[in-house]
Amino acid sequence: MIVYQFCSSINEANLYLLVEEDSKDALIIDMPEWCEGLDSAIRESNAKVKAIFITHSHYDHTSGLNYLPKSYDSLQKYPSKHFFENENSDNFLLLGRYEGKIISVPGHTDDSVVLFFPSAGILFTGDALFAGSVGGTVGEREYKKQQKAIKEKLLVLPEDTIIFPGHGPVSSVGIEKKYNPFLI
Amino acid sequence: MTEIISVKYIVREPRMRMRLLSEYLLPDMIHLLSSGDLEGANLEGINLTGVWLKGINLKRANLRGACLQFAILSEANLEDANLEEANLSRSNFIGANLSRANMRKANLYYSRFTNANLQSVNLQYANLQRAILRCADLSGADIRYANGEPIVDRTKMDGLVR
Repeated sequence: MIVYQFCSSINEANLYLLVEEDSKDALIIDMPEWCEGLDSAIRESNAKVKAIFITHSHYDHTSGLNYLPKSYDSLQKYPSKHFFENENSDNFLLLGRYEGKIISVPGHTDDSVVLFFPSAGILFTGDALFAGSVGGTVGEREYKKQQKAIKEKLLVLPEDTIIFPGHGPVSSVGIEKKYNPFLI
Repeated sequence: MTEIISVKYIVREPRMRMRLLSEYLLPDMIHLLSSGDLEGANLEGINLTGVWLKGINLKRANLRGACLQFAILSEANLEDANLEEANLSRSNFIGANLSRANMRKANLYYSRFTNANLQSVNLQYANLQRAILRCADLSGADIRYANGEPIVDRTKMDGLVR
């Protein structure tokens, strides 16, 4: 799997392009803004972009959806609205030979989701979990909900799982379990 | 359109030591870094953008002017390392040991030093804007002429030289 990380000018939000090396099937994760760099990466890797995955509905992760090039207008969007109606439905997506599991991690927003590729050992956390921090919440109730979701759904994943967050540098589940001051 | 900074990772199979490889690395360098022990190595000016170096031993290494943007150096040993004028922006030094490192004129913009040991580091003229120093130990560090507002929270700052 090839992962391109773009750090946008909108709140330094990260945009990711994932390319499965065999099929060239590709997925974009979050869309703070479209950029020439993304075009180049798609061309360079011969990527066939199949879908866009949005980790949560904040503007710094979605603004670019309003300015997609025409050829990307009809791309499938994940997660589907059915996911939020029933978490047991539509909770995975396929990218070439990899299966990605969509996991709800509410707290930062009610619609916060992460995408986990078990066989690649990579996890895209949006603003649910950062290197050394967690996404802000509007109140104590949401903070507790976030803590519970992170501990029960993310920190139980293999420690060498690489975390690609919505802002900032890459980390791993093991590092966050050991050092994240919001979780220990 | 605003310029966007980007990094390309090649994710190898899980449970390999170095699963994130920057496209900038030559095969010889990948082999060298995979050893995990570069104590005292001269890596002046090297480009290690986005490379996974968790737990690596870089004690007393010379990384003067190196580019470590987006690199992952959590739990690395950088004791007495020379990071003068290095670009450490947006990198991950969580739980790393940087005691007595020379970080004069280094760029720490938006990098993470949560729970890192930064005792007696030289941060003169460094860019500390948005550097996250939460729970880090900055005791005895020299931050004279440093600029920018770092994020400090439960940060130890005994004997800080301002």
